[in-house]
Amino acid sequence: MRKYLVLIFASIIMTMTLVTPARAEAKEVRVGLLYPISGPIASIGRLCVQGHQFAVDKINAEGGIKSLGGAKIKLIIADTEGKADVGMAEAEKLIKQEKVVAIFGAYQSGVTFPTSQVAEKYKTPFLIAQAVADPITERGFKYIFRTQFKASWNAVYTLDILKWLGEKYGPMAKTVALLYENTLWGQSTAKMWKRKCPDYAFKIVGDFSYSKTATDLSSTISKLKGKKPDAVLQISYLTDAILVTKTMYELDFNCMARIPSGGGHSDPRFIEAVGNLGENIIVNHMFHPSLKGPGTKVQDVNEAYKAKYKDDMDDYSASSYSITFVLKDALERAGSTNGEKLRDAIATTDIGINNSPSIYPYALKFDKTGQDPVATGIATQYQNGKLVMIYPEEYASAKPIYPMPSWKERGLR
Amino acid sequence: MNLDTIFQALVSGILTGGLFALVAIGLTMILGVLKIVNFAHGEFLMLGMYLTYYCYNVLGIDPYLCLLISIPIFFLFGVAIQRILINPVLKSPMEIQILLTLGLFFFLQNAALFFFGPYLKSIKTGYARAIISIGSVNFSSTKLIMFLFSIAFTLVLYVFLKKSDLGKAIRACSEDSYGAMLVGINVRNVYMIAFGIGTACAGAAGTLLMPVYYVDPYIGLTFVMTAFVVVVLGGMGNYIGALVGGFIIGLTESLGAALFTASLKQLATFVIFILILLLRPTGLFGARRM
Repeated sequence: MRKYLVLIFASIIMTMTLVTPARAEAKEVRVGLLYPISGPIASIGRLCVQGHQFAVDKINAEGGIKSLGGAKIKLIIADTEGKADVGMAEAEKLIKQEKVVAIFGAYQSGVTFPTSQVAEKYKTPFLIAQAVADPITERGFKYIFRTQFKASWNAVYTLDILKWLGEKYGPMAKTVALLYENTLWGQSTAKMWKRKCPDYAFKIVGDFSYSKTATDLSSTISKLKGKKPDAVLQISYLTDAILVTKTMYELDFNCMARIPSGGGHSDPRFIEAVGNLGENIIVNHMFHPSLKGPGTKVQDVNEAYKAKYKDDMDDYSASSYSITFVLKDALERAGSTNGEKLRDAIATTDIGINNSPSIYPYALKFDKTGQDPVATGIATQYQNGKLVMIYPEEYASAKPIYPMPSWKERGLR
Repeated sequence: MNLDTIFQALVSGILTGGLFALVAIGLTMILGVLKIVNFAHGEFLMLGMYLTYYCYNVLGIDPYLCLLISIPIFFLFGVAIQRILINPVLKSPMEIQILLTLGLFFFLQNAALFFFGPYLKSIKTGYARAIISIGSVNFSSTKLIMFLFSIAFTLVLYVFLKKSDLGKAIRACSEDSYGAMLVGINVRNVYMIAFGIGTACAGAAGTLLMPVYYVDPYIGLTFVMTAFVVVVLGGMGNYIGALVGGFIIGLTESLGAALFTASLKQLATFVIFILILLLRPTGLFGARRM
């Protein structure tokens, strides 16, 4: 009996070893995805993976990588569980065992930071579509590329929008209040605002941080109301964004503009929960399906995506989708999956806006640090219950409503 | 410091305090009578919110009318949980009991994730937008209703415990279950009923909270952490202590946010928690005297 078992095992192992080279011959380019697909932020990680998958399905359906004999891209998905140590082990496994030619990842800045270091060590290109922490591309690494703006640029961008609103539609906001959740994201953005507001002649009259698990924010909003700011710059996740909005209504707090930076305010569940209380909030983020131009590209891609996944594209899937074409383009030009050659090809990326498959509103290219120097966000505003693009103007689909009417003027109180 | 802000903080603190008290009273009853730390208490609250959500959105039942549904349902649910899960471990070491209620916590949270999805849900009622303004102080009517119901619920329960035979039996078991058994009280039944009442409190709190707040599978922990502080503050098992403790914590949070910064408000709560444990472990009003 035992002999038979040994024989069976031996034959299984034999077949496996026989099959493996055959698989390698079938043309495929193995690419690693390193995202949190379990744990508390799994829903976001999965959207990122979905964006890549959607792009890869399109690339493969259109004949794969032509310079590599029509090789198909195969995605190898690894789970960081949202943890840095797990991410590092998984990155190593992707490179050493799965033999991937490049890695996309890892959504969170805190995980992207160490995992990209692993990729650098093994000379495997690491492409970042979401993590925004400034230092990621400031370490002198050669294999790290980011198509996303840096966090500090985004903070400045909020101020640009406020200034643009004042100049174009008036009156100009003179005082601002900062309202932010007190983890790294909120605090680092607030720090940037404090540094940059003087350049824009905005006076900070209030600085309020809160815990995102707070169950009541009446006191904070009441203090905010006492400061009478012209505009509120805000960093919130979803649940606190809802609480802040409801409390502002309850306490009759009014201002000329509320500009939260992405996060909870762009989540469709936000507007679902607050209804018309969310009207005219300006949300600064990466992507929106109402993005106009060039042509109807964004809408076409979004429609196809919606048909497949029953949901509009969002910041996460859209950024993952777009960055996938950076790799595709580089593979075509390199004609090789060798790490160094691929790296050089990515470094010389130059994908314009008009004829690129990317759905970002800016060109894709990289400076010496691997950062896309022209990366920028967009601004949208809730109008009639929907987010519409208002800035930059050339891609805008609607005019902004500014100053924001008070609750009374809107007949809500 | 703006005086309006202080008034606003006082009112908000008292309104939230009422809810904290209701959550804590269920917890303290289970702790006092069964001597069990119920980590799953917040999940009962979460399920109460989901029940209210579906009653409103699917059946069109007003959330406050839903109290008539959620209180009996959660009472029976609590009785069943006690009978099937808690009863077998009543004489086991404390670690076993804690592991059991912790297990129940994870089970219910993940069941909610599976059945209701990870995304938050909220309901929109006509009166959620009704704001009451007194001078410069504003608050929503739903918060006031939540507060009044919480207080009424607590008082009814208090009278029940003080006056009725069953209430007296519950108190007797809380003070000395062996003695209670000797005088002919059916301790097993009392345990079941006490756990049922405790669960019903959480379910009712969930229903009252739904028009004010939102629900997701993780919401339980947010409230139950505060409730644990309230229970310890009022004295474990102490009924009036939980009510007063609820107001103290509610006011600490809102005044803390008004006078210092909102980031500090939960810090203040847990500083109180640690201080009480260090300096007066029986709580402000002494333990287990219902």
